[in-house]
Amino acid sequence: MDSDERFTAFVREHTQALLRTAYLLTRNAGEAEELVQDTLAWLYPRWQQVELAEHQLAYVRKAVVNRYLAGRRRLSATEVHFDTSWERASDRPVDRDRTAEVDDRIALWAKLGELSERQRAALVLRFFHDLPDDEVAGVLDCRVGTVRSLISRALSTLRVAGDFADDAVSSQYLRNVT
Amino acid sequence: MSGKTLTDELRSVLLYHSLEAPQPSATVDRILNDTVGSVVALAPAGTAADDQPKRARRVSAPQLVAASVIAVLLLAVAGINSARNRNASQTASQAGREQVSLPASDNAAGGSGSFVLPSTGAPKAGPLNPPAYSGSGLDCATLPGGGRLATGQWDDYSLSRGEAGYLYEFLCVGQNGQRSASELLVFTMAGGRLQYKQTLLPAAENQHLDFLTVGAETVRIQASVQSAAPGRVRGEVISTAWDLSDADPGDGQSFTVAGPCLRKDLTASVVEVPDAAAPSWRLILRNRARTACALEGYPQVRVQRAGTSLTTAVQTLSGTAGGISTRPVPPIIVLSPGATASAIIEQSSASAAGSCQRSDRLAVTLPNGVSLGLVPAELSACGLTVHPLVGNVRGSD
Repeated sequence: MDSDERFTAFVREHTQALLRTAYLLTRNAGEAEELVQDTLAWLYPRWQQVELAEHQLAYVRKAVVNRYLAGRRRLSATEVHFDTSWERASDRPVDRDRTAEVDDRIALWAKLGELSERQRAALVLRFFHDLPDDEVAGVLDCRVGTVRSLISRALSTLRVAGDFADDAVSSQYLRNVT
Repeated sequence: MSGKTLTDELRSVLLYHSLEAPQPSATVDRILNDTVGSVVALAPAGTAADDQPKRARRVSAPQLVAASVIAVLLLAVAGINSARNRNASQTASQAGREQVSLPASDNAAGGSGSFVLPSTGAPKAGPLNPPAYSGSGLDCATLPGGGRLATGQWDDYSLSRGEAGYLYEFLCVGQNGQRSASELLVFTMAGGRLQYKQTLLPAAENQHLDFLTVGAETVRIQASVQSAAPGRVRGEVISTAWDLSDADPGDGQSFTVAGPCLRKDLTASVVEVPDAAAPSWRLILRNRARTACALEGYPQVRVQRAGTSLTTAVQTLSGTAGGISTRPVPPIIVLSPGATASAIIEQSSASAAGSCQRSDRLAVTLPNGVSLGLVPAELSACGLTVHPLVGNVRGSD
């Protein structure tokens, strides 16, 4: 199997998982597709380097996250929506009969959207991918203390979305809030 | 909240919303198309007539480059033959080849339209060889968009009743590598002679032929509409099918593949290309609508500072930083919802060495004339070129 075939096999096997990560980061289907597509197109000529990694999917996921964070810095100041009357929210009509619990989850999802990109990336890596803090730090290229600070501040923001029971994990992070 | 912890709820919400991520198939296709190559296998041109549908081929594929070279050679021959055609019988006897003339009334361009068979005209067994085109065929300069003939390609077909024939595609290229009108003609082969049958797509309709599928009884094309014909919108991409078994296929049956991209359909951004040989940027357009829309050609980019226009980027097919290198014309892009098209804006190395004013905005107009508005962008405002839009995020084909 040559390099192109191995790249093709990777793309076919892992694009769905990468799209899920990208969607949680970008919160937008089109941007998620663009992020994954852009990242893999960028990695393609460097694929031999990817193959040297112990865990290829983790390597590519790190590239997706870094590209997202770098891209947001570049794009946020420049991307222009030409017609604000087009309502993104109308894509997914809200079922008014949902339970309060589900409403709280909607509130939590909305609060996730208010976080900074790095805070959201830290939460996705920590609580969606279940990475320990040191591996999150490796993906974000920062110190473990910085990761804990990012997560604690993010959880502090999310906490106002509902009335949550005591939680040893979040308490551990929230104690770090200064 | 029902006794659940924040982190449990967070995990649950992340898992739930991750399932809303787009399905991967379209993204996989685009990634592979951008990297290891087309995911659609192209049948080789000139294969024998066989079962159908026989061929699905994008006209603007790399074959066009080779075909363009052939076309140039043919045009050189055409120059000779146009003189020869003044005395056709003499030409035929001298060349030992058989010529078939187009009826002038059916040749929308009014070209001389003669074909030279590769033999003395004796019927051949097996796959037909394509008769080389030797006439001026389509006089692009007289058509909307003007330009020169980029290529005259052929496809053979075979009807179920045994009739064999050829489809000839003539594609014009106008200024700066823009497409202009295309024409599609049908010839049948009878007794070793080509006989003009009909014009499926007249150049006067000013459509840009993009994609051609040949079946036993049908021909289907995809083309972008460039004229304001009744019931049509300039810039829309349509698919049209003709039934070749019908003695008079008429105008064919058409449906709209995608309308032209409008201002409300798109978001735009400008990002600098890292590590480029020359300072360069990507103009990125994303379809935020729920339906596909079509783009084709060069964006117009006017560079501004504090509301004053500094310069307009010159439109060129390619440059140091990228652009179109595998075909003579910009692609026709059908942009699905969420998909991205981009164009490279680059500064010449010579200009980069000097001092240039920095812009704060770009005024962007789509190739179809739709003004997008102002996009914040800081770039050097001299020696700028812009390349055509392509259907990926890299700005290059």
